[in-house]
Parts: sequence; C-alpha cells; structure tokens
Amino acid sequence: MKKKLTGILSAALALTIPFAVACNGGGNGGGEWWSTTGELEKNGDEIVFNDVGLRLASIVAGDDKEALNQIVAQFNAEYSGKIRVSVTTVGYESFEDYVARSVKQGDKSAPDIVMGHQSSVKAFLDYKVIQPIDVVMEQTGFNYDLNAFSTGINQYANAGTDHHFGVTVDAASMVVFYNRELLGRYSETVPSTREELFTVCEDYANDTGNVPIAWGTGSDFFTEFIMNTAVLQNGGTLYNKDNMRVDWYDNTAQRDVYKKALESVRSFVTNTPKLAEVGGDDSSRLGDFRSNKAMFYVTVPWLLDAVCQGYAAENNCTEEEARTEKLGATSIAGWFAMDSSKDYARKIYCDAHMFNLSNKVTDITQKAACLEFMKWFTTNAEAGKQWARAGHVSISNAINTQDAYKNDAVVADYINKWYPDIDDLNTVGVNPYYQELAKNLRAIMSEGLLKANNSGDEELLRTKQNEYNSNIALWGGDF
Amino acid sequence: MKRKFLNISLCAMLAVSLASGNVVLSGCTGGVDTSKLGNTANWVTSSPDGKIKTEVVMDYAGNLNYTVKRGNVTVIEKSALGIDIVEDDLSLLTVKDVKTENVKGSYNNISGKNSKVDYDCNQTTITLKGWTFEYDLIVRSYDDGYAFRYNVRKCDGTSGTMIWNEEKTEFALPEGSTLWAQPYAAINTNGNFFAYENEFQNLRTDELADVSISMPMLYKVKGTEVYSLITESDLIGSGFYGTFLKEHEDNESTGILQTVPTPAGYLTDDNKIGYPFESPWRVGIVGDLKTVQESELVEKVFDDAEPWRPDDYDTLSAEEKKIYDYEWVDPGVAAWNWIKYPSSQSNYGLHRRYINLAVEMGWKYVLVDGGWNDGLNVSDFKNFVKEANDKGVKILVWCHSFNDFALGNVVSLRQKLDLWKSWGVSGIKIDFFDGQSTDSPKFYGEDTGTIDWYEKIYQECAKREMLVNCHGSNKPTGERRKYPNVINREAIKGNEFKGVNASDAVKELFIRRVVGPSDFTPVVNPLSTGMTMACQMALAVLLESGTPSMADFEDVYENTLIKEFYKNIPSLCDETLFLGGDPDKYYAGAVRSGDEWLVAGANSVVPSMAKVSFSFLEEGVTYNAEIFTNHETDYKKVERRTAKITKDDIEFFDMIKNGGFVVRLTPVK
Repeated sequence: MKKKLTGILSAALALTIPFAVACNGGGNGGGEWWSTTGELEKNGDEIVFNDVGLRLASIVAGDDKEALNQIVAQFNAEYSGKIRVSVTTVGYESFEDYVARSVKQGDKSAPDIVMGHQSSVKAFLDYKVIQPIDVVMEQTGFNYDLNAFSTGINQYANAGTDHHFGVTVDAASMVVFYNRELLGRYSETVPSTREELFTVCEDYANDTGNVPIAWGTGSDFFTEFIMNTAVLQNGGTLYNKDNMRVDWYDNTAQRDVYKKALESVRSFVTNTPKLAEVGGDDSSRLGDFRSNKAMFYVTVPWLLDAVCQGYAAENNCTEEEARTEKLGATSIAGWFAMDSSKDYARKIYCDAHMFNLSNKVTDITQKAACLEFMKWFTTNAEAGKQWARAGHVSISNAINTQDAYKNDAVVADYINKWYPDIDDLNTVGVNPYYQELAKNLRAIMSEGLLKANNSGDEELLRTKQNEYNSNIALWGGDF
Repeated sequence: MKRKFLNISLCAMLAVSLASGNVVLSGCTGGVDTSKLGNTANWVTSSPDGKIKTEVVMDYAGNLNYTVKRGNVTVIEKSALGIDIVEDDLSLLTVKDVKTENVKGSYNNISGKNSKVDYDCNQTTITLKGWTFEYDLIVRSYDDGYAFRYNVRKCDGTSGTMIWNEEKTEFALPEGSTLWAQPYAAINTNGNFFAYENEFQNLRTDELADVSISMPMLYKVKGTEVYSLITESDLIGSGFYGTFLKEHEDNESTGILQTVPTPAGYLTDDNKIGYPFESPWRVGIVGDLKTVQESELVEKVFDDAEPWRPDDYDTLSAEEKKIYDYEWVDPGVAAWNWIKYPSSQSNYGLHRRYINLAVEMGWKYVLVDGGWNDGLNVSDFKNFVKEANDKGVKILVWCHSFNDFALGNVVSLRQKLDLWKSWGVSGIKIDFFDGQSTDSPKFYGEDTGTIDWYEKIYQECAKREMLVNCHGSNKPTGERRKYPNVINREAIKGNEFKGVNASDAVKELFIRRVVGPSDFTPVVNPLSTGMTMACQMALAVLLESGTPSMADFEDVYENTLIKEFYKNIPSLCDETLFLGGDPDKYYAGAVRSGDEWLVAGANSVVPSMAKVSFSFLEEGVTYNAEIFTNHETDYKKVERRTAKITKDDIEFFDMIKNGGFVVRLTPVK
C-alpha cells in the first residue's frame, strides 16, 4: 500500500528498464541518452514541415479535455499539410507509467510530445524518457524564448539540470466563486485577507444561520491544493530540495508552520459560527451555492461552465447573466495566512501542465515540429484564451501580455481574479517522489480536518513525515 | 513431420487443379465436380455498374487473399482472407463450389436515412472445404462498395461449438492513405471500458503500429478522390464478438490491418463459437465522398430480410403475430432533460413540464433517465405515464444493462420489462454495455456474451412492443433491419460530453453517421465555446435517429425564432443527401421528410464557405426558405432570414469557426 503511487512508476519501470535504475540510481547522470537523425530542410529561415504526424499524450482528462482537443484542432487546421497532432488522453493514475513504459519499450505508438504535470518532469528525466529542448533549438536554429514565463513555475523547467526539459503551459489551483448579491449585503469589496474574509462570513452566518463557504474537503484536489497552499502562506516548505526528505515534525520551525497551516483550515470548520463544513465533494457542495445559501464556493477552476450553468438553471437566469452579473471570482490568496503582513501570505500552490519532448523522437524535423507545436500553444492568444476558459491560467508572457487574452471576459473576470499575481504561484518543483509527497500531505489535511482541535496534529505530522521519508529511502532516495 | 507432408501434398494437388482447372480435387471426403469452377485461381466479383471489382485469389500454397479496385484505383491491396479453428486445418482447403448470382431488391425503413432503399449487387459464393469443416466465402460487390462474410459449418451437417483461433481477414490500405479513425483508448482508468465515444483522429498508414482501431473507419486513397469506410454489419445475433482492426506485429507501420477481438477484453470465452456460423459482414463502402456519405451498405447487406420473429411464431394467434409486423414502432422526437437535471430524474413535476413541452412541440416521447425509479411510488408513476399517454406522449425509461437485470439474467430481464410494460412504458434507453458502473457482470464490452445479450434485449423488447435505445454501447451494425424496434444508439461522442467540439462532430458526421442512428442528444444553446448554436441546429438535422433526444431546457424551445424549426426535426427521413465538405473542414447535407427539406452545414475550426446547389428540389416548385446562420459575434445566437428558393438556385453559406447553418424549405402552396 505504501508504494501505491510512486510505486506504480517504479514497478513498471523495474520490469522494462532495470538497467536504467541500476545505472543511474534514480539520478540523471551519464552522458547524452538522446540521439538525432535526419536532416532539416529549410526555406530561408523557415523549417519545412511536410505532413509530420505527432502523437501527444495528455494527462488532461476532465472537462478541460474538450478545450485541449479544440485547441489542437485549431493547430491542425492552421498547419494543415505541415504538422498533424493526435491526442491520446491517459488518466492521472497511469499517466507516468504509460509514458515511461511506452517510450522505454520503443512502442511506435509512444508519445512524441508529453503533456503531463510539471511534477512528473523529474521522474521522466531520471528514467530518460524525455530529452532537452534547448539542444533541439541549437540544432535547428529554432527561435523560442524559453524564459518568457512566470518565474515561480518556470524555474523548474530545467529539472535541476543545465538543460531545458520542458515548456510549462499553465497553472491551476483551487479557486473561489462568490455570490455577488449575498456578498454585497455585507461588504462593498471582496475580502482580500483572512481577517476580512472571517468578518464577512461571520456576519453572514450570524444573520442567516447558513454556512457561508461551500467546499468539498473530500476531494484530492482540495486536500492537496489547500494543504500545500496553507503551508506556503504560513512560510513553510514542502520538502528539502537538497535531499528530497521532509522535516514536518523534526524541524520545530516547520512543525509550527504545519500546525499553523492545519489550524488555518480547520478553524473555518471549528469557528463559531461555523464557516464551512467537513466532507463532501465539489458537486455535492455546489447545491448550497446554487441555491444561494453559501456566499462562497471553493472548487477547481475547470468547473467554471458547470458552476455558471448550474447556477443559471436554478436561478432562472441565463448562463451569461450568471457569469457576468450574479457570480464573481476571487482567489484563495491570503485565506490561510495567519499573518497577512508576510510576503508569502498570498502564495498559492498550483499544479502546472508542462510539455516535454519524448526521447522517442530522433528525427530532427520531427523534433522541430514538436517545438513548433509547443511554441504555438504557448504564444497563440486564442489558444491561451480557450485554455483559460477551461480553467488554466497561462503562465506564458507571450500570451498573457496580449490584449486578445487580457481583454477576454472570462480571463478578465475570472482567471485573473483567481490568480491575481502569477509570480505568486508555486508548484511542487522537481521531486521524483512527488506522488508520495502529495499522498502524505493530502492525508495530513484530510485526517487533520476530522479532528476537533490540534491535540493530535504533532503525532499526525510525525507519522506522515516518517512514512514519506522511509518510503523514499526504500526506493533509493538517498541523495 | 506429418503436418508438413500434408501441406506439401495438398498444395501439389491444388496446384494441379488451379493450373489445369479440370481435375477432380481431393483431400476431403469425396470428390468434387469441378465443372462449375473457373479455370483460374481467382474470382472477380464486379459491381452492377462495373466500377467496383473485388478479386479473390487462392495462391498455389492454398492461401486466400483479395483485392478491391474502383476503376483503376486500388482501394484494398492484397489482403489475407480465411479463418483458423482448432477443429480443422482450414489453411488446407479445396474448392468445393463457386456460385455467382445477382442480389437485387428493395426494402422500406421504419426509421433511417431513407424511407425506401434499393439494393443491387453481384455475389460470388466460394465454398471451401477442409477435412471436417467447410465454409462459404461470400463476396459481394455493390456500386457503392464491397462486403464479404464466412459461413462456417461442419461437413456432416451437425451443430456444435468450435474453438476459434483467429480470423485472418486483413484490410491492406494503400500506402499513404489518409485515415480518420478512432483508436481504442479506455474511457477511464477504472477498467477496460470502451463505448465508441473517443475522437476520430487523422492518421496515415505508417502511423498505425501498436494501435487498435475501432470500426467504422474512413480513409482516402492517396492522390485520388476515392474514399472507403470500413466497418462490420450483422454482428448482433451472429454469436461472434465485436471486431477491431490492428496491424499484426509482422506488419507494423504498413497499413495492413487485421481483424482482431476488442482490446477491451472479455469475460465470456470468446474463442468458443457455435456452428453452423455466419460471420458478421466485413463491409467496405467505396466511392467518392458523396457515394460514401449516402451509402446504406451497412443495412443493405441484409437484403430483404424479414424482421425477427420468435421460434414459436407459427403457433401464435393472429393478434400476437401482428406484433412482428413492427407497425407499432413509432419513430418520434423525445424530450429529455438529463443533461440539464441529472440529479432530478425522480422529480415528476419536472418530467410533467417536459410532457407539456412534448405536447407543445408535437414530439412523441419523454425519456426519463437514470434515477427515475429512486424511491419510486408505483401508483404515482403509473398515473404519470397515463397522464402522458392521455396527452399523446409516450414514456421511455432508462435502465442499466446489467445492474437492472441481475447482471445479465434473461429471467430478470423479462420480469422487469413485463413490469414496466404493465405500467405503460413504451421503451427503454439501456446503458453501460461497456461494463461501467457494475460489479461482476457475466460479460461486457463486445465479447460474445454481450453480443448475445444485446439480441436477447432486442427480442424481449420486441415481444412487448417496446423500443430500444442503446447507450454505452458498441457501434451500429445494421440491427434495425432485423429488429426495427432498435431505433437509436449512442456509440458517439455527443452532448453528454458537454464540451464536444464542432471539429469532432464534423468527423462524426463523415464516419459514425454513415453506419446508423446516432443519439447525439441535440441542444439549442451550445454547451461550450467549441460549438455554436447554428452548429448545434445543424447537428440536430444531420445526425439521424429514430428517437432524437432533445436535451435543452424546456423554455429554450419557447423562442419563437427557433420553435418551428425544432418542431420539424424528422425521426424518419425520406431521403438523405450529401452536399459537400471534407472531414477536416465542414459537412453539408440535406434531408427530406414528406415534401419539406432541411439543409444543414456544420463547420470545424477554420471558417468555411459551403456552396449549396438546390438542384435536388422538385422541378417547378418554389420553396419558402427559412435560413438560420451564425450571429456575427455571439456564438449562442443565430440570425434568421427568409427567401424563395427553387431548384435552379445556388446559395453560399459562410460558416464561422465551429459554426453552421440550417435552411428549412417548405413548398409554396
């Protein structure tokens, strides 16, 4: 059971590529593992692409999958006769396994482009299933500014190496909808600090007896995004970047931060009056928001359409009216910071999608075609708009500085309100044991929320810390 | 060693026979009169118009293969034929008989794309004999394609079960062909579930290694305007499994696709096939795009087959026999609210509103979906059904193909259907054949057990005069020719996927639409920016179904701009025409119901202009045209204008990204 998450990848790779594990010990040492074949044809400075077929394996499997398909269809239309991209969707649970296994085995259906979570890049790199993008740029003279992205997230694109191993596309975290009419009764402005939020919510709860915040603490998204955000907003770190170990209990300063983080979330539930409930999931809590009982609804951003449609259905208005007049958006920045004056108080923990170039690709023209797609996706404002409407804020400066993106109604009214400063967005970084880390952090939040007070928090932190550390040691995490 | 000797000796005998043509073939019991045989090893079946030629060749080693040409264009390169069973070595075959005949006739549809369909083909039946088994390889060439099947039996006429090793059938696509295909990918990571709801991808013949491709699949022969759509027909009732296409590992990246069992796995032993056995038809629709798009070949291969009757039909009363005339099958539009109210299906106040909507719109059905019987008060439900029936509206109910029937138990099926019928229910929408949302079914997906289960459901519903709409199901394989009560089917990525894109839907029009009814569940207001209102209106016209399930809020249809349009969505088309397009660009078509025409276009991501010639209209008649096109800036609106149109007119329709248009044409009286 302990190995369930990271173990999926480890076990799969152990079957297919034992030599890689043995040689590298989970690290990424040893010379170049990628190769290049073929010759590039150019017309002036332009690379000539002649019906290059590319396979994109995507982890995007929710409601946002259709937006991705639409964007790819747009690309295929614009590059008709030059480049074709086919999308294969692989679920979160098996994505890393699928990519690693198919590339390592040399499957012809293995992806050329990998669109996974940024958190997977370290594992892919360790098992040499991806190759550096900057090398291809040098080989082809491809012009693409790999640094024109949000610094907080893009810093991990090199996966701790001298090469650039990915193009980070977007970010997403838990976001907040609010009921304009209900909030307007208690405040002229949208609360921007934890103190302001509590004041508004307590006033509302005292007046109406309703629980002001609807959130489903039973979802993995909630426990992971909120736990990690609460840690960051209280000045903590998720793990030690030098050795990948965690000291959530052993380090007293970290222990205090983690206790504070837990309490910052639990207090919404234990507060008198109660500001939020424990349990449920996104859909089960949506009813309270749609029926105008909850003032705020904390959920995942790709439910934007569903929330607006659901609200409209229950409140006899159009979806457009729901989105523009009835509902509003704000962020969880500062919601869990026990000291709002700190510079880390508005940090938000995110997950990010990243494009990687699969090590399956050897042909130089095909490599260039992969880069052409990545560049198009991260510089095309229309693509950025569509992706944003699916809940993903662009972290590409080439997109988010364009008027066509900024002035889009959904981007302006929702996306940019959910993520007010993209440089405050943080991801997990380059931890090969990301899934084990996430599992234990989620467990801290879900188990901690069930407790009436903080009396068991230290033991919970100690247990989960030790579980994570002992597991990564077992898997070779001896840095 | 023994096997080797046999091979050599038989091959030698065969070589003699093929070369000389007039020897008595041996190797099986008894001699064979070769006077009926041709002198060569090949049998060419030409279509009535002579354009399609399907050539079967038996080489000197006894291997069977075939090619298909349309004119000078090779549509199928040399491809293997044959089957492999444990009980006999069917690679060691002698030719017992060859017959050619013309198969010609017509039939009327109860629901479908055309109310009357003519069929005309030339057929060659090659009877091939092993040691204890023999089979007919039946090959047909139509003007719009080819079809073949294997009829396997034991030489002594007995019945039993054979162990099926593999079907050797290949479809070798010409090099460089462009494919629009739906590779297998499990719906989610909870199991191997597949319900034909993925997107069609644009691929090339050298990009097919390691993928399993579902049918139907469309391709275009490189450098030509010849298209072909490969699929199967007459699957339900065959005792066989649903088939996919995959390159053998020896043929990687060649475009030579072999028929293989579903990758979704099976719970029933799929290698046990009963004999005598008639395989499903392997079908290739061939021609220019218009020919392929207007083809009824998947259903034509049934010829003038009688609809299903029970074995005891002759003992039934006259009244009971009338059931099997299927005149009670009443195609019609259904009002359906699950997309908008998925958690409210036990709210009969809600459903009553949709009964009123159906009355207002002239629709015949209201479909109550999953959850309709949660905490059901039977008396109230019966009153609800009666109330609906009194208003001229019939009720269809959702059910789970396994969970509602003791995981696939026919006794339970009969009991439930009897009960629902006694409550006045007119049909079922039956879901999750792919195996989702159930524990421990006996079978799932497209294994032989599930294929049998489909048929039992069709039959038990037919006995009770109940309609069937299959969801979470496999693709249509012409079953409504045998079971006219099966008038709708999902197996399409429709509006249940709320963000379904116009680019995906356009490909579905070119591929999935061709093979049978499609429960796309039209809405008026698009559910995402990937579709516009005009495009949704076009899909309501272009995707045929016996019970199209209209899925929007009821007040949406009160809009006077569109009300008359949605009142006139046909559930049986008298005629269906393809007017133009490209699978990567747009689709334009027309359907006729009575003397009215609906013309529609759906566009993918690049703005297009559809040129529509109205030459198909009746000579000398002027039509009032009600034309709906995209609003200039709001994808959720359409603009309406009117015009007079005759058969001499040509109109150009600009379609924006994800856009569309519809034209309703009514004769000026």
